[in-house]
Amino acid sequence: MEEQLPAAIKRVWLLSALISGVIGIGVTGGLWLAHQWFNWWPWLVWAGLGLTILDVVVELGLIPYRYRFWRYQITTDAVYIKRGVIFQREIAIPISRIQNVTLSAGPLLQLKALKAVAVETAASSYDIEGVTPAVADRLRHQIIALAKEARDAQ
Amino acid sequence: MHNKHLSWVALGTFWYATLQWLFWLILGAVWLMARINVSDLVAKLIIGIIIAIMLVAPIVTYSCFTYSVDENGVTIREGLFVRKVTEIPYERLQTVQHQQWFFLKPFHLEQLTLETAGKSDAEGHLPAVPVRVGQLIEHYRTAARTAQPQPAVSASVDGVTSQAQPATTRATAVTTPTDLADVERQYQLNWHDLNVYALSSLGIVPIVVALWWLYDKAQQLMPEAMLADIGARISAIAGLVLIAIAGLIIVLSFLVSYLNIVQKYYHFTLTKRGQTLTMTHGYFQRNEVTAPLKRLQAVVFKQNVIRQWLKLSTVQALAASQAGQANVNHQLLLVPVLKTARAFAVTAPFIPWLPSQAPHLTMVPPRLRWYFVRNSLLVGAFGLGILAVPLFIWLPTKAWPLFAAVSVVVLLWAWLQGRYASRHSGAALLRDQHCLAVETASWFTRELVIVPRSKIQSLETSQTYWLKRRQSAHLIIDLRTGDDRKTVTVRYLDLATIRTIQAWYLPADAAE
Repeated sequence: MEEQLPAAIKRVWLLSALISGVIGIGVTGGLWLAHQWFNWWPWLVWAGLGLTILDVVVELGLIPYRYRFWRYQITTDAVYIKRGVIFQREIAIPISRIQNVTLSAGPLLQLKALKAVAVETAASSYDIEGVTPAVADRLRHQIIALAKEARDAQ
Repeated sequence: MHNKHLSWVALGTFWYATLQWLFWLILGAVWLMARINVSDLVAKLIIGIIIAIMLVAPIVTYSCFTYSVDENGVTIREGLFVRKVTEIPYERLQTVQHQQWFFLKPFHLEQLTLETAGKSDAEGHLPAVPVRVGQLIEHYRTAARTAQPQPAVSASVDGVTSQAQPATTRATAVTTPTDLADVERQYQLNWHDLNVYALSSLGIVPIVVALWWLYDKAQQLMPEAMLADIGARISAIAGLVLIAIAGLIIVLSFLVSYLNIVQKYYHFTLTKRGQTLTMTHGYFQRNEVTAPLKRLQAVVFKQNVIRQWLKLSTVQALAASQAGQANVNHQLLLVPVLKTARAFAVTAPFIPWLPSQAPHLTMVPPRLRWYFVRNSLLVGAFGLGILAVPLFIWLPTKAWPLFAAVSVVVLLWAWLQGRYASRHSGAALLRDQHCLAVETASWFTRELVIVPRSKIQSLETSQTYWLKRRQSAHLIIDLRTGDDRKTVTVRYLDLATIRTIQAWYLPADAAE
């Protein structure tokens, strides 16, 4: 019963890659103007352009893999997260160690009506990058109820 | 208890603190005056202002600083322009640290540091208060922990009306300040162990400093001696004197650092009273830290290569939060040094979940050991690559032999370190104690961490695509120390070992 992120997350990643591309082009444009007006080195423009293209290509290229390898699962005992293509990580967080569950959504996630879930322990925080609001609320209630149960049982 | 000022001795502490930040101001003023021509009057004015600050600031800090202790908690008020009130309820108190410099002893004063579980500066620091205040806090705290409201103690720290417990223990205060619970178990560092600890902790730093000094002096003296055309004999004598002085300095710095460690850990005592551990040590400054047992997150047995060779270990604890300076790298020192063979037997009685024998670890299998060496060599090579750039730019003529020499040393070091780490990485389950034991090594120091299952915040594995095919992964354990996280990573463990640990950590989901 491992769950995959909603397919809409791919569009969010796509948009985010394009936005970082736009920002990169903006910076490159700035460098070009600086070259025209203040005689900055011309290779800075090429470096800016190259890095921007590289960043966008890598981000876009990784989307299908990122989507395919991203899995989460919530059982009665724990939250599991699996992610990564080349560096594969498996995280197990027992519900009884969870201190907080935070739901949040930036503009891109809101556009696709998704929410990011942050699961916090006393030591660190783990993110489930995007789920539908219904799933998010279910997760939150489930985790909080289970955490309360686990804590009461102690 | 009403708001009280600190003892007047605290003025000294505040004065010292003022001097510390004034130092830079004075330095800046001197620098400025040396640069810019200021008139005599202005110079005098500046000096006058600095002296005035020096005299007035500590008094102002002192008079604005008050504290009160009652059955609910400790309240500290401080600040002239920005009034700051810190409330510390006893339930929130994590560790209490008592520090007593020898000159505070005759006045029955001590320095208290109260630390809470809070994230930010919820820490209380009382530079000089009567010993009774510390006892009173410990008393209320124990009362709050046992959750049975103690009979109201007429605890006036003015000492006029106090007849109840904190005051009556006053006579023995300096040696046994904590009340209520009896001493269940105690371990005191013996003289021999302290001696070995001090000798094996001697830093290389003083030696390097001394050698540097020698080199510096030699450079200064040599040409002078030649220029003055003093005979070879005299310069030989001068050289001898120089060597003697350098030797003396080395011996002295050894002695000073040795004596410093001895005085610092003098009479190191670990005591268990009820559900708390207390560590006391120090000759010139008596240091006492009390921590509740349930706050301990893990116990670490640590040894560097020299101590390993001497068969000695240091035992530390990770606590959810600790106070003050007694901690080295956020760790609470349980026993500075003891024989490795006895380490578990000695410490186990103090901590309920600690095994009484060293665990038998499943080490990184030999087929995976070379990864450690490879990684270490790669890091070394990377460092050499960075070094090579400036070397070949600025010293093109001498670069090759120099680079070759450095490379040999660095790569040899890296190889040895990788080899060391590969042989000191492993894990074991202690099912009876519900604990996990993991060993890791870095910089020729190995750490054996024992952590109860309930204190592992999360368990993570990480593997690269290639490592997956070799049936291996890294195990990452997330722990809480202080206000922060600490991760322990055991690299290149056998996958079967990791699966067993995962199944033990979350048994209900193990079948999947």
